Amino acid sequence: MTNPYLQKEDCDVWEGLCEGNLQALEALYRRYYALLLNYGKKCCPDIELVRDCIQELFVKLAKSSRLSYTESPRSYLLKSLRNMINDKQTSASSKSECFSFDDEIFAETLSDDFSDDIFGHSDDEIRMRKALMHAISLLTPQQKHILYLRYIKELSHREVADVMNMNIQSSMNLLSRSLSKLRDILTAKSISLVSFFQFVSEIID
Amino acid sequence: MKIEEKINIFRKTIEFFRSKEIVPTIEEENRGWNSIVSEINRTKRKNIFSKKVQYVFWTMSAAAILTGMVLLFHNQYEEKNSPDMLAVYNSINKDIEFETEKIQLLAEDKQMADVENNVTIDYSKSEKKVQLGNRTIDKPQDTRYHQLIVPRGKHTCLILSDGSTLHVNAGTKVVYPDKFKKSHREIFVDGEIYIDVVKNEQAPFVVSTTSCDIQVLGTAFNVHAYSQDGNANVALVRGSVKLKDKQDGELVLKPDELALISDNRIKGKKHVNASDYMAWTKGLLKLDATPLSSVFKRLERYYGIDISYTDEVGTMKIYGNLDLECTVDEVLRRLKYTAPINVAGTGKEQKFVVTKNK
Repeated sequence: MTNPYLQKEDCDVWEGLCEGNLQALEALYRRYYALLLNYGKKCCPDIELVRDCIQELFVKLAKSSRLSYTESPRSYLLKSLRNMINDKQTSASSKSECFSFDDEIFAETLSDDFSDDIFGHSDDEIRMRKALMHAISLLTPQQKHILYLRYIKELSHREVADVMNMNIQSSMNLLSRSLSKLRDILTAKSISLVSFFQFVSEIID
Repeated sequence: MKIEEKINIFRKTIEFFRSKEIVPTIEEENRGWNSIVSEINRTKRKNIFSKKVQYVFWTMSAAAILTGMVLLFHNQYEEKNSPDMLAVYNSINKDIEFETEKIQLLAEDKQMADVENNVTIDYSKSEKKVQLGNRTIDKPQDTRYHQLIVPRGKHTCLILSDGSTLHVNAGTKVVYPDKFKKSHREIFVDGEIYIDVVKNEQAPFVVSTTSCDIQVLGTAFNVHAYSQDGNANVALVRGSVKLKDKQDGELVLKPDELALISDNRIKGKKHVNASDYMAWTKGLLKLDATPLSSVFKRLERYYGIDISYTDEVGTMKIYGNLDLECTVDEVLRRLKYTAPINVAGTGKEQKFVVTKNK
């Protein structure tokens, strides 16, 4: 017995959910479990806590009697998950800022023969690659956060702003500031980046 | 470096980060979904129940409403007057202890039954009766607590009213209510148990001992806390527990961690293979650089015997597995192969003397 919601668009699934349809909830869960798991892991290293929060989030959605219309269920889920994780975390450091790519980058710099299938082997490439990784690690958590949402997860500008709790203009500013900072760091390392803005404009559709 | 090459590096970096994302297995996803569904159903049941209570309340006549209110007050009265288990333990007449050879089941301080070795005692099957292996006995009404006394040389299995299962080792006393309250579940243990607690978020489960309290949700763990010893330990197999000692020190355990308690204070924890610590429930004793003094103490309790040994013998450390499903003579004979010791005495007299082999 297949779930009809699995094929539907997000807005239809969300409508089904507002009507209290369990299959709609399941479709949402299956569609976004991986996304939520990875995003949660970036906000907090304890993966069991992330799993528990995901469970709690979906149970809450099922129980909630007044679900409002939302343009993007995806950003709603991401935002709710992050809030739940932050509530549960006991660390004293600024919670909303906590966001790290660091484990990947750290693992990166440790092994020289990483990702052979993705990256090439020329000296220039290796040098540039390492410089870029290093530059990313120098960004603030908030900057990493927005780059992750926009470039790795390809959320729309509106969704990014929603998840980060900003208006669209502020989030676009933050995005371009983050890219500028990357450029500055890399320039300081004397890696010429004339191409940088070209790259950027290619990705921002 | 050409422009296109540089752009490529950025692209590849993005690709790289994407490749590092966790890909959950379909089993994990399904597991998660099943937990969500069962949690939803559980709270649905709760809501329906409370709606029924409201409905009943409003549709009853005045006299019936009064009856309802009296019942409510009665319940609250019960809740307030139920004792906490440690207080109960302290007030019990301690003389009815391990004098007898049989496992005893008591309702408050009156004997309910003698139980044979290894028979399971089940409170969860019926509200009015306790099942003891093949037979059942009636539960006396309105008892605040029951006791299970397992003397040395015996062990058994106890299933509480909520379905939580305990394996009870020799020389152990367990004090528990015959029916758990709705708001919390508490038992008292002096000795050693391996307990598998049924999850119930409305009623946290607490195991009290003379040295510490262990608070749980749904988990399985081993408690080794004989009031005679100065030390106690708790080994968590799965789930999560929080320990509290008598000086309000706290410790949260994760699976495969062992908490060490000494002189009523939590001393620390270490990473272990937790299943080694509950292997006794399967008739196996796992030893890893364990001093013979600990081994002998366990054997004394498990078989109900006395072992005297010199200090030199007591400090010898051994490794390996001891099979407890055989006679004590056999166990000690096997120990003789592992450690340079001489054993004199027999299981019949229940006294052994162990000396160093010259």
